[in-house]
Amino acid sequence: MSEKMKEEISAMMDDESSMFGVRRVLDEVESDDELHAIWERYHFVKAALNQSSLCQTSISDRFWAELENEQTNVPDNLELPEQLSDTSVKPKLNQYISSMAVAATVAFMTVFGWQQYQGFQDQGLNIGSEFSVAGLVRDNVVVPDSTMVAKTIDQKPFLDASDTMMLSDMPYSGIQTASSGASVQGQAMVRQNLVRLPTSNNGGMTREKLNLFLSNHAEHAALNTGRGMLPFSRTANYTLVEGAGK
Amino acid sequence: MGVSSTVHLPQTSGNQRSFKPEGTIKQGSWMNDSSTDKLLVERVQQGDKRAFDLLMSRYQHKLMSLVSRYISDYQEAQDVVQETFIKAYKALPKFRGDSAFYTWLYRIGVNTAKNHLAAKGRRPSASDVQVEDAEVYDEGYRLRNIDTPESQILTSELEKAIYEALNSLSDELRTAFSLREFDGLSYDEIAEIMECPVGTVRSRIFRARDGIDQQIKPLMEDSWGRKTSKVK
Repeated sequence: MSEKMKEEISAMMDDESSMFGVRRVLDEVESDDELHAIWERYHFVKAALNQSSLCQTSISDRFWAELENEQTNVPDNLELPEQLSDTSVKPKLNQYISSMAVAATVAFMTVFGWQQYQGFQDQGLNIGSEFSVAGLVRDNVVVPDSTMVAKTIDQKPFLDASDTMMLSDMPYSGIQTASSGASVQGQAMVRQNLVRLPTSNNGGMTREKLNLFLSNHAEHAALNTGRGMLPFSRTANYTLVEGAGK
Repeated sequence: MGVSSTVHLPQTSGNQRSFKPEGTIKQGSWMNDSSTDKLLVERVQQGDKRAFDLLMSRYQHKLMSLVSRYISDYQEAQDVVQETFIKAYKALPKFRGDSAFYTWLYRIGVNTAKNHLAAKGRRPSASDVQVEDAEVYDEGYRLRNIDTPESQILTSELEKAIYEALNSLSDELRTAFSLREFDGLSYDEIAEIMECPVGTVRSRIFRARDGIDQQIKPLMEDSWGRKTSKVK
C-alpha cells in the first residue's frame, strides 16, 4: 500500500478528496483489507479526540453476521406481513366495504321504493293529484287555492278564490295544528269528494268539508313517508264548539 | 509559524478529557463530509458492501455517542447501534439523498433507541435528543460513561497513546492536525492560517494521522481482537 493511497484516505475522511480519489480508494479497499483497517483506526482517533463514546470493537463483523442470519432465517417472516397486507387484508377490507355499500343500497331502494309505491297508490285514489293545496291553510286561515279550483275535474270551483274561512269562525274553532302556520305544500291531495262539495256555507256542510280536509291532511302527514319529511299541518285534536261561526 | 502558539495542545497527564482547546468553536468536522458519504451511498446502492462497511466505520462511534444519550448500558447501546445500521442498510436502496446521509442515519438511530426503550418499558431520559437536533449535535463531551471497567481501561490506554503520539508530533504537523480535528477548519482555511499550499496541509495532516496511527496500531489490534474487518 502506497503512502499516496493512505494520504488519499486521510483526505477522504476530511471530505477533501476528489471524486476520482474517493473512487480510487474504494476500488483499492475492495482488495486491500489493510486500507480498511487504516480507515477504521483513523476514525477511531478522530472519535477519541472528539471524546465520543467509543465502540470497543468494530461493529462490522457483528453487523454482517446478523444480516446474514436474518436473510437466511427471517425472509419468510418478513414476507408474510407484506403478503398479508397486499393479498389478504386489503382485499378483505375492500370486500367488506363493497358488501356494506350493496346492502345499504338495497335497503335504501327497498324502503324508498315501498314508500313510492304507497304514494303511488294514494295518488291513484286522488283526483287532481297534480295540483297543490299550497296556501290552503295559512296561519289558521283556510284559503282555497286558485290552481286547485282550476284543476277540479268538473271545472266547477267549490270555493271562490275570494272565499276565506277563519278557523276561529268555524264550528271547529278548537283546531290545533302541530306546526302552526305551516303550509301543506305537497302534503295533501284533495280527494275527489272534496272538490265536489257544494260551496254553501252552512254548518253541516262546513263540518263535513272540514272533516274531509282534516282527514286527508292527517293521512298525508304521516312521518314515515317521504312527504312527511316536508312541512305539514297535522291535526293533533280539535274541539267541537256548537254554535260557533253562526 | 506563529500559529502554533494559539493552539492549545493536550496534556498527557491529568484529565485528558478536558483537552479540548479553549476558545475553539466546534463546527462539526464530520458534518461536511457529504461528498464522500454521497459517493459511498451510491456505491452501496450499486451493491458494494465494502462501501457500507466504510460508512459504518465512519459513524459507529458517533452513533454510539448519540445512542448513549438514551441507553446507559454499553451492550444495549451497541445492539441499538447495530440495529440502526441494519435498518439503514435495508432502507438504503430507497434513500434518495434529500437529506444528508448522517442526518438520515441519526434519525433512524434516535427512533431505534426510543423504540428500544419503549420495548423495554422505559422512557427516554430527560436529556432527550430531538431528531432535528441530531444534525447539529455536538458530541464534544461524553454525556454518560457507558463503558465497562475493562473497556474503560482499554479506552483510557488508547486515548493516552493518542495524546502521547499527538504531543510527539512536530509543531507543523500538530498545528495542522489540531486545526482540522478540533477547530473543524477546511484545508483551504488551514492553508491560509499556516500560509502554505493546500497540498502541504493535506500532507501534514496525513503525516500527523499516520504518526498517531503507528502508535495506536498495536493497541487497536489487541483491543479490537483482529486486524481488519472482512466483508463476506
